[in-house]
Amino acid sequence: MTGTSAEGITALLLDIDTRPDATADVSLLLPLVYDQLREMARRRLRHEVGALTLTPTELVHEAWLRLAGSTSITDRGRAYFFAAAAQAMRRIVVDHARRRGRDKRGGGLVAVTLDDALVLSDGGEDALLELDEALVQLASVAERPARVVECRFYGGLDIEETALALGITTRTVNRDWSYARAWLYDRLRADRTAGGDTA
Amino acid sequence: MSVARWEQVAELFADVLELPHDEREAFLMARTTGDPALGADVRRLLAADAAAGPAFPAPLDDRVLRAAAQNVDAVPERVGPWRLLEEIGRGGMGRVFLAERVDGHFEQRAAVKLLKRGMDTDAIVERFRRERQILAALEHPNIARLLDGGVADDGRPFLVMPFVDGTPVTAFADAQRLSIEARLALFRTICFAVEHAHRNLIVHRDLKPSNILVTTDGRPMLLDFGIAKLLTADGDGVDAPTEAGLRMLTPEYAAPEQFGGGPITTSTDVYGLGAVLYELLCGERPRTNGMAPDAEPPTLTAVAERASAAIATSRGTDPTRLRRRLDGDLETIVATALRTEPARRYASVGALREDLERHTMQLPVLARPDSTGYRVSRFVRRHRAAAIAGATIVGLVLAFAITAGVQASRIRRQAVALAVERDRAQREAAAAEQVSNYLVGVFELADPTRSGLGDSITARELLARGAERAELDLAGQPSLAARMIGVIAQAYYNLGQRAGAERLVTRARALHRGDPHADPAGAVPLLRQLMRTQLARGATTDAVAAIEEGISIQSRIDPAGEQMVLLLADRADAQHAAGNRTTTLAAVDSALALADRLTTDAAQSRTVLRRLASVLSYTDDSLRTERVYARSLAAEALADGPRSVGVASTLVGWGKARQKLKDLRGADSLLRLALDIQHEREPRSLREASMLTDVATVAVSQGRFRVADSLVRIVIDIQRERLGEEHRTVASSYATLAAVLQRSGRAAEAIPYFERSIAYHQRTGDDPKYVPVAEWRMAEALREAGRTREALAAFRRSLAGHEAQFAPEYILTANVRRDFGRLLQQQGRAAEAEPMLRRAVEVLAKRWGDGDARVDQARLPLGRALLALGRRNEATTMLAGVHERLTRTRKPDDPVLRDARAALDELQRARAR
Repeated sequence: MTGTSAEGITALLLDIDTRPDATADVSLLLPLVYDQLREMARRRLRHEVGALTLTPTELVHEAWLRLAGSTSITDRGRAYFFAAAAQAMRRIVVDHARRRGRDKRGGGLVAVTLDDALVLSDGGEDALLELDEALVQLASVAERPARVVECRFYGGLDIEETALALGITTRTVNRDWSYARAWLYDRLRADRTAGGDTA
Repeated sequence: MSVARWEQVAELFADVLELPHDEREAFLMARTTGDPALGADVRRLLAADAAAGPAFPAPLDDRVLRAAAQNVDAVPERVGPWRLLEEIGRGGMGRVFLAERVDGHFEQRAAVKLLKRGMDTDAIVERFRRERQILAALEHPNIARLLDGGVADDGRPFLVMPFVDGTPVTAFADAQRLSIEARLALFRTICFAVEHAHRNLIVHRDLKPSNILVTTDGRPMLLDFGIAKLLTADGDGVDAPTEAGLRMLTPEYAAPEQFGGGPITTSTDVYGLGAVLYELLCGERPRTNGMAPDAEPPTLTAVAERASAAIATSRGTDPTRLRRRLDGDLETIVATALRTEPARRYASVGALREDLERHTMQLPVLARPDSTGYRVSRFVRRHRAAAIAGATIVGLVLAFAITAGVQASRIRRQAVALAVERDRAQREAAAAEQVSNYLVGVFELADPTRSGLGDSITARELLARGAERAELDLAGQPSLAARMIGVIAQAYYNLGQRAGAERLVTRARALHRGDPHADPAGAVPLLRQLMRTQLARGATTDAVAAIEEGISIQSRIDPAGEQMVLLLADRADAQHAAGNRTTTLAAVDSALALADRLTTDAAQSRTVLRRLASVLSYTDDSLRTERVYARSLAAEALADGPRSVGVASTLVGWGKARQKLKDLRGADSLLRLALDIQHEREPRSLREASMLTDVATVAVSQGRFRVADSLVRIVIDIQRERLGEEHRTVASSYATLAAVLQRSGRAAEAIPYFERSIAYHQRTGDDPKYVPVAEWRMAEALREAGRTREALAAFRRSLAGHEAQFAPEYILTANVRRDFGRLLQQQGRAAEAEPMLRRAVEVLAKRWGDGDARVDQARLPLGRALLALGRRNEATTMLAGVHERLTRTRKPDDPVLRDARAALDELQRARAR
């Protein structure tokens, strides 16, 4: 975590806390959080001892604790941070997947079974990209459920944190999550079938 | 429909999902009776949900995150057609790489800005596409424009601009130890670039030192113009930033409205420039990170108060002087640029720059309520006693202009003029037709379809052909042809084509003489013109002859009129040039005496008064000089108003006269009054530049080198703007700047300007005598700067040039030998120095007399050289003589005398050994 990005994040969060009328534009915070999360992930890798795992939940919460430890940021700031962190994690993952996908280009697309879309292991970057594309499509018809997926899947937030980040109730989170899950699976399955037809 | 379709589907789907499996179908049927499509959608989702199972989507795998964290920042080898070579910078928006074109179409190195991940790629690329036309049009020598942009293979957006090898402006200024004046000059150039962009409706939005680089040859380059908008503006490109803009901000330099989401205008750049200027001047940033956006920065003097010696040293001064320098105008100007409310800042970058210029010219700045009280108080503060004289003059002129008697005389004069005009019109009616035919013929020459000259005909060619045709077309009217040719000759003269002018006037005079019907009065202006051209080439005898012929003709026509006064003034010029002081003074006296007897109208003729004032400079008669100038000023004010260009140029003449009479303060006051008027009438004109040079010259005599320095820099600015870099006038202003710098003890800074000036003359060769003289002065500067080897080479070139260009006994050549010889002697090369110094002494003694101090100044190094060569007896005789003479004529602490004493001491020590 670089000092400047942490300071910048704190400043922005305090600012949003003290100005109730200000809109919490996540894009403002995003690059800073992006840097911070990436740096933290790298640091973890560098100091890796044994089987230390790397999950979005851990990363995002560790980042949050570092920020909140020193200052008194309220829920409003916290929600703002979580929303930005989820988007940042999504970009980190998708950027990576896109890069990997391009690296592999030329050698032909590795055949991926439908199951690969569900289990994102090494070599699953294409599946990650497909999921992301589907999520973009979902957002174009149903914005809120797409955000819920972003928070939960990429940001590793739990139901309550997601509700906080998006300013909705936990019930809505649950119902949107169910809907989005089904919608995405349906879309991926349809794409896969169409892809299989042409292959 | 108030509820979106997806919400209906999602709502129903979630409700169904909460039911046990066997109840779902019935519930669905009941809820979708009127909308079977809704039922189909929900069923489809239910099927997907069942197929997906609870594990979908599986949480992000550890391995994916690891891989992402590791390679996310890797640098692509190339982006678009650009190969990345090395990282040269890192900033808020990403990393910057030196790059070259892969396709090798043309040699081009560029800086590629690879933007951070997390930036909204699609929006940036879209905005780039839209703004590209505008940004590509931004061509200016001090702006690095956007060349290219796109998306790299890994999805990161990139922007390409020319690679600028430079240092941030603040660091550059400190490293070069630029004075406040030089900093202001540099800043002015930056302002011009920003003004250019604003004219193209592009706002920078992120002006800060790291975006303003100065190349090694001192050229400021602005980077990232319009980039901030590319990265932050909202979708429709309207000038209103999204909050995303905030993260791009450099808080120390950003304008308050950029924090608060106010509209971004050119005023935002005024603020940014103000912030850069603030730091350039006092060494600190106007805001520290964390300071409230709308807090006013501390005043310049407050910062200077606690400024370290290092900050002052890097500005070539000490803390006390620095604080004093920043106090007043500069503090006010910077504060005005940095005001929180955009409306209270300078209205434009041009206004900011203009005010700085006014400050540098020591005119009242506008950066505070422009009350008369302030102007007057400032003027009085700056000029004290002299200002009162200036104000009085203007007051008198105004009073004079409104008196009824003067009004009456003006009406009378107009009536006379009308009558004269009518007569002349009748007399010349016949000639008019011929003249107009002739003019048509001349201008047809400029028409490429008719002249067969192509479209490259220049003003000079046109003039040349005009003169030829005048003789042909006006063959029957030689005196008319003579007048035409006289006019063309004047144009030649004004173009600096002196030889051509003289040839034509001579021809005109011959034509006129050969016309038996010519009006003899027509010869007089031709003779006056002839005399002027002859004076210009130093042919004083011819000039005297011409003007005497004119006087004798005029005395037969009208011996006591206006024209005679002008001729007598010309006689003074010619006699002065011929070196006849007594005849000169007599001519001035007769001109003045005759002018006193002129009718009231003629006595107020502006031409007469100007000429009288000009020849009075040959006398030391301050009383008469002042009187003529006062009358001249009144006449000018009457004709065109108290703040006319004519008044300004009279004030200039008056100021120079005062300067000659050693009233420097008075001179300064008058010249500045002139400048104030000129600046108001024709800002940034060549005439203003010439007045600024005059003010600078006075400042040098007063030892106010700092002022002179900054004035000359403005002069150069204006002249370059009007004339281009390749112009004799610009070259000579460079030499002036060099001389000012050298005289203020900043020889090292002077050298490059000497070089530029010399280089111009070497390229064009239009004044071969100039180069050796300038090289002599540059050699001195090189010596003072401790660059001895280069100094010796310059002396050698200068001496060779002098020997080639001038007569052997030329006095300046002797000076070159003296200085060259002295340096050789100091370098221990006595054998070379000795003959050179001996020759210098010989020539100088012949010119100034054997016992003159100027000769002894050359004898001193000669004595030392002799001593070094072991010729002690010669050395002793020479140095003792010098010492003896100087003791008689100089004060005990005179530096030359001290040097002579030191030389004698060296001699004693050498003898003691």
